[in-house]
Amino acid sequence: MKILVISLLRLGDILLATSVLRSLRRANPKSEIHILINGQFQSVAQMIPFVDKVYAFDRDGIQRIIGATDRNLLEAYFRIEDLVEQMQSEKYDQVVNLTHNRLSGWLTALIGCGDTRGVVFGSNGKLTAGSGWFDYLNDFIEPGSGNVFHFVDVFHYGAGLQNSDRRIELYETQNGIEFARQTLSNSMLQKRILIQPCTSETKKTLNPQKWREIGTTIAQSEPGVSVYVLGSPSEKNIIDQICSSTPLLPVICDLEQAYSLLNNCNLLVTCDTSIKHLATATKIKILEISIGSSEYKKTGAYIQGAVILQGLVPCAPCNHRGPCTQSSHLCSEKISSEMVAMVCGAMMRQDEGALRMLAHEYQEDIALLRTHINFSGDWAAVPLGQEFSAKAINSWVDRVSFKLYLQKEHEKSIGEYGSEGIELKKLLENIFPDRSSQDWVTELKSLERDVIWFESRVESFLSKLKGLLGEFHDVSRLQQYMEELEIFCLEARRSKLFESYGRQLFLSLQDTNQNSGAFQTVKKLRERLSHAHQRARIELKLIHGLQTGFTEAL
Amino acid sequence: MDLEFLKCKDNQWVPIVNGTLLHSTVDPYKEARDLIDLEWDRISTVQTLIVFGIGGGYHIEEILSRKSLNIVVVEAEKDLAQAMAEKKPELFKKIEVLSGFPPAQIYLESKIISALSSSYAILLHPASMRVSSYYYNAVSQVLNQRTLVRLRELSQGNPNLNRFLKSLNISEDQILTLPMVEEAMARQGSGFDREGLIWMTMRELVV
Repeated sequence: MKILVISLLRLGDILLATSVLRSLRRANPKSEIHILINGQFQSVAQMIPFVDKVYAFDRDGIQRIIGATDRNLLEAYFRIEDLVEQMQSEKYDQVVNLTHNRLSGWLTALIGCGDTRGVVFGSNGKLTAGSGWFDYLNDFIEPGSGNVFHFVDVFHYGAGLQNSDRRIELYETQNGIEFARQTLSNSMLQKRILIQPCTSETKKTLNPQKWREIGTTIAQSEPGVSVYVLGSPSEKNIIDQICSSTPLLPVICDLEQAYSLLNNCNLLVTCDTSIKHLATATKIKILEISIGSSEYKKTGAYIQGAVILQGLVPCAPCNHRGPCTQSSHLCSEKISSEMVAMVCGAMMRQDEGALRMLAHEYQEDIALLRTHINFSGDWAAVPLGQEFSAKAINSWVDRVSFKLYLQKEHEKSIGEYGSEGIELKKLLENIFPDRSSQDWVTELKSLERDVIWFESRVESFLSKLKGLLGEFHDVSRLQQYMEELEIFCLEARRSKLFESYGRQLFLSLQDTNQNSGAFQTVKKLRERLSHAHQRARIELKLIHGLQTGFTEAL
Repeated sequence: MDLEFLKCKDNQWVPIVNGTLLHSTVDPYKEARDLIDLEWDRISTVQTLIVFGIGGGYHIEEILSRKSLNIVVVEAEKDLAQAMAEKKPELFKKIEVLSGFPPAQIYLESKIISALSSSYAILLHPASMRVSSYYYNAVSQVLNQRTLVRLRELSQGNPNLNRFLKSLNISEDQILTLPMVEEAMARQGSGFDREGLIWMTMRELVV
């Protein structure tokens, strides 16, 4: 069996994709696995296990040819054709496209394979995702959109992989091992903290002065610890600026050397960087500072026990495109060097109580979260010190209901409601450890009432839709129906509990607006409303399960 | 054309055209190495390399010492090409040299058509460009024109692409742009075959 995995975004995305490569290898031990990545990241290939062949897409080169008027346009055409011909000759049995964009959709179509997972264009020029999970990715692509699943989990479910062990594994190179040995041999101190300050976008990191303060405060508050500041050769000036006249130790290295350093240090402090994803393949503790357009829910450190610190401002997370739109970098201003140093100290001492205390103390400025991976392998960032509310509870119930729906548990004779429900209960108790069973029962009853009300509203819209069948000649009736549904969607989107439903129904309304045929419109609406109805029913089942669990404890 | 050869210190010959030295007389090999180092990433992955300027051949020898590439040399000065063929016959066995062609005809040469039908890059020999900049710029323009008629001619070695370009209902003298191809495909409504998919992939790369 020959499988191709496509990952045509950035380095961090390739590292996340390695988790899928590992799972594919485990599910198909005798298979040949190839990967298609952007040519500029080809050097990382030597660190990726489970891959038999790497194909490079020279995106930058082709883009330059297309953009330059003094280059022949056909040169770009032939470059793509050459690559495609090579890949077609491989005759893949399965293609897994983990890149959620149109470019990869066209390329996947060109490679041509009967079994394709992920976005692909059909011969009619229409994009299909192949799995509800990839549609889910599309529906929740906007920054800050709900309590969503991590990309690694979505990739696994979307690719039809069932394993719960989804860790990221990488090779350590001899070059890296030797570099780490030499770099760390100068330090007499046994404990080491790595700071990696630079990111691909400036709005995703703190300014050099703040990093300098953070590093110095950590060095002062953690005697007996060496603090290294890590950067690539192109970041040398910033690293030197941060370290000059401080006890901080600059380290300039490449990716494989950085990986070996991470393997030999105790704690990494970084933002949303590829180094963070590298670190998840080691045993180092990770403190991720999530600011700007970083979306920890989708791309946080995919490992059990990492800590995420997010600056709380209404504009975060912002859109990837464009610079920060505020008068100053508000999300980074919420993060102080003392706060970061205290979190580092608590992590080094493995003092969970201190972390929770810090989360409460700074709850107006930051959210402090701990990453958790449950029995079925699903990653979550669990807030420490979150306020107990129906909204907070429901965001987790909503997430699990999505998973059960997308996994089509409602179509199975015995769905996995019980085991998912138990995991959900454990997760909720972890988030709100001090709540009594009575508190839970009261809150869940109120939540149940709301979900029943919502379900009945969706049901009534479904029945009205049935009434419209055969009445297509009366355009005004369908128009009136759609106006009512739009108002309902807006209400749902603004509500505390049903925002994700509102978003999905709203998207279907947008879709249908582009379709002119009444039949197609009704069909699409029915599909989406049934989806929402089914999910609301799953949500109710989960709430009943939780109620039973907490009532038994009473 | 005024052509002479100057012997440099390693007993190597460096051509002088109209008073311009085409290579360093101190160390032409090092100079060639430096040039190719700069260009290597761009030129090493293509199927055919078109070199503007034979010079003393040092830059071409440097390329061939690194990788056995299919090389087509376009030389403005026929006399220089002939002289170099005598001085370096072994090198001339490994490459194709087109010399003395008017720029407007060069794309009709089978070697060039074959190069343009595969992946190719153009390497400029800086000193040759200084001597005959008018000629090379004209050749470059001819090779890179993007009118539909020119692209069709250039795609003659690729029947599927040629057929695809013919199927687009676009005026032949128009400069082809990617959005234009997309619009034409949508207008034709003929579905997305392999060639159409490649054009759509290119379309996505337009920033």
